Amino acid sequence: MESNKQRRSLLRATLLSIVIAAITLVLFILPAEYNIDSTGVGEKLGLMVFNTEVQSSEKATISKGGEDTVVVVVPAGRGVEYKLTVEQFSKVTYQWATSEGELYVDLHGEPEGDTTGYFESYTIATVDKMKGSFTAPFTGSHGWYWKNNSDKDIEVQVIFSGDYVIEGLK
Amino acid sequence: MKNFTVIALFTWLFCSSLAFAHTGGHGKVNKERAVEIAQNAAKMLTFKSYGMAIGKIDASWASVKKASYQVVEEDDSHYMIKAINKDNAQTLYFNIGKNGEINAVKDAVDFTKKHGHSH
Repeated sequence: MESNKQRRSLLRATLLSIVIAAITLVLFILPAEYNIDSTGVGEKLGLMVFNTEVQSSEKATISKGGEDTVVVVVPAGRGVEYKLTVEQFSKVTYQWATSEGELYVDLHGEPEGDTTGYFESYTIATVDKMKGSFTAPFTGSHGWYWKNNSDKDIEVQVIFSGDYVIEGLK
Repeated sequence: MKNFTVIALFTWLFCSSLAFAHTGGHGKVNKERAVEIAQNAAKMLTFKSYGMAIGKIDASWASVKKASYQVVEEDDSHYMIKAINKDNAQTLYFNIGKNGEINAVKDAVDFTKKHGHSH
């Protein structure tokens, strides 16, 4: 008698947890992770921003002949990246200079869609300014990695022009 | 032998003319390129002085369009480019060498004093 009661309450608890898990799956997990929002709750709760497929399908079109100036802060002892999406064979002309001091720099590109971590370096140096251009050998994320090995924050002004979409700081 | 001599002479003349044409380093910049260099110089100077007497200039200069720049003087060695920033009511003069170098940047008052006349 006692064991039947226990078995029934255990069964009830199991069924209840399955129902709660199913609700969580449909309302929260499927919209956030798999872009499946059958109820519309995911959109209302803003969960769709976590879905990278949605983000990549809303990719901005490449602007032709753009011209931009940005100032990037490279904190003391740390490295930062500033990247642009550039199509294969498109050209970007650039120059950059530090507020003071030298930075290690690696101007490089990462192919679009690559998951192996592959990247190709176009220029590596430790300097306080640089000027030049690059023509992207493949469509992807191209730009600068600066490393500040000093004990003071360093600002970098970057002036660039060409055909690209700004991804920004990474 | 005569034909060979003629051919050799013309080949030498042709090749040496190419060599002489290439000496003297990079070519000269035109007016349009000089204006681009001046506009770029203004953007750079909003960040730091680069040792120029004008010092670091107002950040609004980074947004001044090319149409606000005009060539007011030209001689064998340089262009003088005048730029007007309506945001801060400042006028700057850029001395850009024909080789593309930024020789000097001055404000209107300093320019008129040293240049002898305004534009």
